Amino acid sequence: MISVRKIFATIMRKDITFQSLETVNLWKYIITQLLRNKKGITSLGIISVLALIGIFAEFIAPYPYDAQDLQNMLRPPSIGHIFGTDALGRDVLSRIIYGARITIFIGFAITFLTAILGIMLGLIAGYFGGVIDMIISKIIEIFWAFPIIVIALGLTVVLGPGIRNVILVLGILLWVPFAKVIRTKTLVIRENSFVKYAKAIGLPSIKIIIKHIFLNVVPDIIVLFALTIPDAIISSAALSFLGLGVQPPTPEWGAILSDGRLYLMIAPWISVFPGIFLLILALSFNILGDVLRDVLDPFMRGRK
Amino acid sequence: MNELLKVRNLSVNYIIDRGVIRAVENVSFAINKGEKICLVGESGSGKSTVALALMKLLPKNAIIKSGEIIFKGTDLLTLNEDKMRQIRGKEIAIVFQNPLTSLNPLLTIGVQNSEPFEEHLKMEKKDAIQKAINMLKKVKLTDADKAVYRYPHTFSGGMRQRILIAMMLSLQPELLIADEPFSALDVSLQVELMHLLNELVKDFNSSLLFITHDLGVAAELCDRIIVMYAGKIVEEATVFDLFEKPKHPYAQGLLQSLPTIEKLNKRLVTLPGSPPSLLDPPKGCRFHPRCPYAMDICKKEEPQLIEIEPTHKVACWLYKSDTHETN
Amino acid sequence: MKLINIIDLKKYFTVSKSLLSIGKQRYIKAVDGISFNIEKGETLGLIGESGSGKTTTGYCLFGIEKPTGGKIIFHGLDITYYRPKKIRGKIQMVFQDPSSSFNPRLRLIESIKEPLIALKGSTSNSAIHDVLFKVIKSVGLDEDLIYKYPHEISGGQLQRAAIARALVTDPEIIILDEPTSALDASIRSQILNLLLDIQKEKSLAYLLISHDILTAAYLSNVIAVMYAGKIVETGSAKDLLFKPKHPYTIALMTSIPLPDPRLRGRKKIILSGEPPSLLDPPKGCRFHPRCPYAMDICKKEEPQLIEIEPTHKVACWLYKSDTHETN
Repeated sequence: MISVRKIFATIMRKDITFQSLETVNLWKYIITQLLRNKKGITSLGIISVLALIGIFAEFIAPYPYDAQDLQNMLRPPSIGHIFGTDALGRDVLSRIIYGARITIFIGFAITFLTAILGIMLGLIAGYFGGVIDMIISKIIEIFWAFPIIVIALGLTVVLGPGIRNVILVLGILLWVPFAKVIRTKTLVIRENSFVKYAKAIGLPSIKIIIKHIFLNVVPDIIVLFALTIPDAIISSAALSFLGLGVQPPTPEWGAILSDGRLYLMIAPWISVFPGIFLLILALSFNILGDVLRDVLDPFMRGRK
Repeated sequence: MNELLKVRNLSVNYIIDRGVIRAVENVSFAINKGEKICLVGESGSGKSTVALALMKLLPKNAIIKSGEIIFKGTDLLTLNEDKMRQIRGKEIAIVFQNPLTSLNPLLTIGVQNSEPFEEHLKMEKKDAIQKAINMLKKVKLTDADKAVYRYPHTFSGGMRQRILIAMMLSLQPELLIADEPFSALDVSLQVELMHLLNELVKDFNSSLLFITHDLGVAAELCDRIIVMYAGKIVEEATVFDLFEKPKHPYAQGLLQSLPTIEKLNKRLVTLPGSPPSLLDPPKGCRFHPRCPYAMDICKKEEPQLIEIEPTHKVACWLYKSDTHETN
Repeated sequence: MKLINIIDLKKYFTVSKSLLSIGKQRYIKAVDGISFNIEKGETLGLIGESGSGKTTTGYCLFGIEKPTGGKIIFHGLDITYYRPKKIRGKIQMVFQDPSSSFNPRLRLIESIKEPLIALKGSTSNSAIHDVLFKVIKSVGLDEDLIYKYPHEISGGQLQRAAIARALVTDPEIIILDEPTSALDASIRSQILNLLLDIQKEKSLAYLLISHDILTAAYLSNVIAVMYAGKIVETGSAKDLLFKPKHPYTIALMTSIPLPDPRLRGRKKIILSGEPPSLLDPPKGCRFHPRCPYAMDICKKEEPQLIEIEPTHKVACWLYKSDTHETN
């Protein structure tokens, strides 16, 4: 595992120490502000609960997620199976519980990849301008114009289904909002005297980008991150729904939804419950993103 | 009755999450008909707050703790919003610093500048626009007849400020408040617009309350100067008296520290320190931490504004009133 | 040898066209051929309004912008397009707005350290530490203040920090871009005194960019007046204040609001109109559309800078040189 600190130290050397970034203080501030806000508490609470459910799935779930019980197929919700069973007699509740882990993980992984790609492209386009900006902007426009799902479909067909490919494919496609916002922000920050000063005094571009631009877009990145996760989750659920995402028996919520399609008339609970959970998760992240935006607004405007 | 406006014991606070900012405290002054008064002070002195209070345009987190604003015999603070709206624009008008944010970018100049005529005088649109064009000609806007079809962003800063002045003076208000209207403009424009404003105010026989931090502008423009510091009035005098014989140590310090033609390349006499925080202002006289003459009483009790000569008032323990204390 | 020679400096900004537009490339001629020198320990004041090109000139000297034409010579070395590392720290800059001069996410000490680290990457921490604290003391800042963030300290203190940052590399010339315009009046004199003191102590040269004539006159030995990208007059402060020659200078000098009400009635030349477009500057003398004395030749040919007295030069057809033409 490459240490982030090591990379950072190598590039920045004495320019700025990891300590002086005070990331801890920023997170402390964010958490305290979130907990003051009703919407913040609710959304953070729901997400935490769902995450904990996923982490402790083994202890919470009444049944293993792949335990088939062909005697009890398509049973409606009952005492033994609170959310009913699916076409192979598997307990829907247990599958949803285990599914929390996978669904949230996929959401984060995709968003992480997207963020790295989008931030880098946005920073480079915004900082260097000129031809580089023109090229990257054109790429942004092209990606923006095409429907993600269609391309995703095409790529997964070519690459084959599976978690890794879902993450890869969606990671390469969902970076556009990051790039756009970061690029715009970079263009604005670049006009500040302290950036012009650093340039004139001979600081190499990479250091300027990290020290002066990136540090100042961190609040925007945090907000975007929270707002992109629901996109990622829904998109991966959509891919699973079309059969191109995760493979059975992986209980990703989109996959469960998809399995329930054929039985919608006779056993709606197989699709409805994972659908509700998907909705709650996505909504919570959206609300969290909104609250984060309010909390971080003074930072994004340059003051504290 | 020559007195147009009388402000008595006005105090305004702002509520922020860190506490209460005592922005304006116990401010009293009067403006007579046809007079030009300059309200001079640095950032944080409370001068803009006073202007907003006079128009009852203070932000939501501002509270008028006490005081009266008596305009033509009526206390504006007792009026409801409807009645206040009838006064705004017609009898009292205000020009702000930033013309960019004062004009609606989505409406043409014609629509905006004819609004006062339509609203207050109930004129027909055609007539109102003609009146607007006349006003624009008065402020020397080039091609006024065609300008009414254009949008604010097609004009430069200086032209926008002219358009604003035209709009605000449309109904010949009896009191015009100008809050640093030219600070954002170039020097030569400042001079031109200052003279323009002077002419117009004279023509319409309006009173002017001009708010600025620039003592040079105050010296050029006004009959009387009111000096504010940290939310309080520290001195009030005719413009000649203030520049010739300033009484309050703050006013003295300020005037001494200006670079002038006589002092080239010589060290300036400065005022040490910086203006205080209004969240927790100093006890007693708010200027005492920086005052070279501070005495014991200055740290404990706030001095009142007293008249030491007719038309010259100071709030400072160095002076005793010659006749009697006046607020 | 002079410290700085600027020879026929030009900076044009290209106006971006879409890929499909036809026709010649158009330029905004922000600086269009100016020349001046600065001696060691001396201050050259560059006066002008927005659009005059004074800030762009400062940026070219500091290295933020690359000149489109002309030469910048430092100690005899041509640094127009390339600056060797050892030169970089010798030319420093202080900006107008203290709040955008510093990265809001870094503590001030990190920002003040920056030029030192950029130039001498491998110096030991203790050496940097020593230089830092010496400089901070010399600008009158408390040691604990530099561990704060920019938004936590006042404008005056921030500007001192900016001066400290400019001093850490032991410069020979500092470009001061409106160093006191954004500060309160009572703080301005403190900073002006500081600049004067430091200059005397370290024999620093200053290029002072300002729109405020009195501030410029106060600090400068020589003043150059810029208009629309060109220098129209140069001379000592006394020359320009008491015997200005160029009509633009005369207008500026006679009309600036002076803090003395007795000078109100003095004869003023008030300019009308707006500064010209830099895309399509007027033919001939760029000031002729606003000049009260414009003659036929002014509309056709550009006047050159000629010496009418020792140390006093003007670019205006009203004057003939006494000895010979000098640029």
